Amino acid sequence: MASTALEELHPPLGEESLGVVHGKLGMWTFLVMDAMTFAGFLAGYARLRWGVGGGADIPWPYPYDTFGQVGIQLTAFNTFILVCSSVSMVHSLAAALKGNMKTAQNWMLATIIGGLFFLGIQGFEWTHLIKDIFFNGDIKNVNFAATFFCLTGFHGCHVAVGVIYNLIMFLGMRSGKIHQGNASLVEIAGLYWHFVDLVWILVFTFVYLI
Amino acid sequence: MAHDKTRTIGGIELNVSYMIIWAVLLGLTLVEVFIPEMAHGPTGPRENSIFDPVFSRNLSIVLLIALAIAKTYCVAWFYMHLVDERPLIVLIGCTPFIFSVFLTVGLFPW
Repeated sequence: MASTALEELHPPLGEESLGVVHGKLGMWTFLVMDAMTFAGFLAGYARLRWGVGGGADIPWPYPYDTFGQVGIQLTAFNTFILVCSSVSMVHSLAAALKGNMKTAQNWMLATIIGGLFFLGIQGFEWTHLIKDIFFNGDIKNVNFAATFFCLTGFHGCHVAVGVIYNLIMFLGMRSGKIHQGNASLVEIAGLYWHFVDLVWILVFTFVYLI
Repeated sequence: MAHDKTRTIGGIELNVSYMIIWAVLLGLTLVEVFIPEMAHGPTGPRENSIFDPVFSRNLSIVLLIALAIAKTYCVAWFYMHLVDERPLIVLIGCTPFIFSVFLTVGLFPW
């Protein structure tokens, strides 16, 4: 069976099933399950939003007016941060595959910083929304607040877990336990991180822009 | 030469192709942010928009969903290396998207 370009550069570790290394297959299976959970959240959001009266007999607030132009642009900047951290993750993998572990380490550190930056901005946004908008009585539709906090909170938990995962990868690289010979560990960590980025693209569009 | 071949995606060197996709994602995000500004609100033109509305809200929803799908495709195909994966993995990766379409259509208040 033909191997992938990444595996040609360096063979993956561990046993294989159906021509795919167990670790990668396991991560993909987990991501499918996680994606279906997010799909449930998003489908529920769509159902509530387009139901009669927004599902609570109160009009669904227009996100652009709720979050404001600055709020939307701040979240767009946050999206940009997450996309940048995805780029740094693929660069970390590319460097690890080439055996440049110091470079890979630096890119992984950039990925971690990007994730922390994202969480910081989201924390700032949540604080503002809870104190100044939702608890101030400006938003009457409870379904809007419920779906917003469930979706962004569930995603934020994923980012937090991803940061910890990446930190473990970083420490592994620094201690020498992760090296060119087992760079597929970085690839598997990257799959999770890119998935977090991918889901945020959808959440940002459906919750903040539409 | 086999070593060089493994460092390309679609004939483009790996690091370069990553940056091209990054630029595409950045560009699409900028377009996404401006679409709601240039569309009518749900109750007509909005007063606080810095642009004159140029298209309807329904069109903006279609455009935003199309852009979001394009961006997720870029991330999944290039950053998650589906472009280079076995069909089995591509099939596994596509499963939740197919599921989510059925779920959304099934739940939608027709």
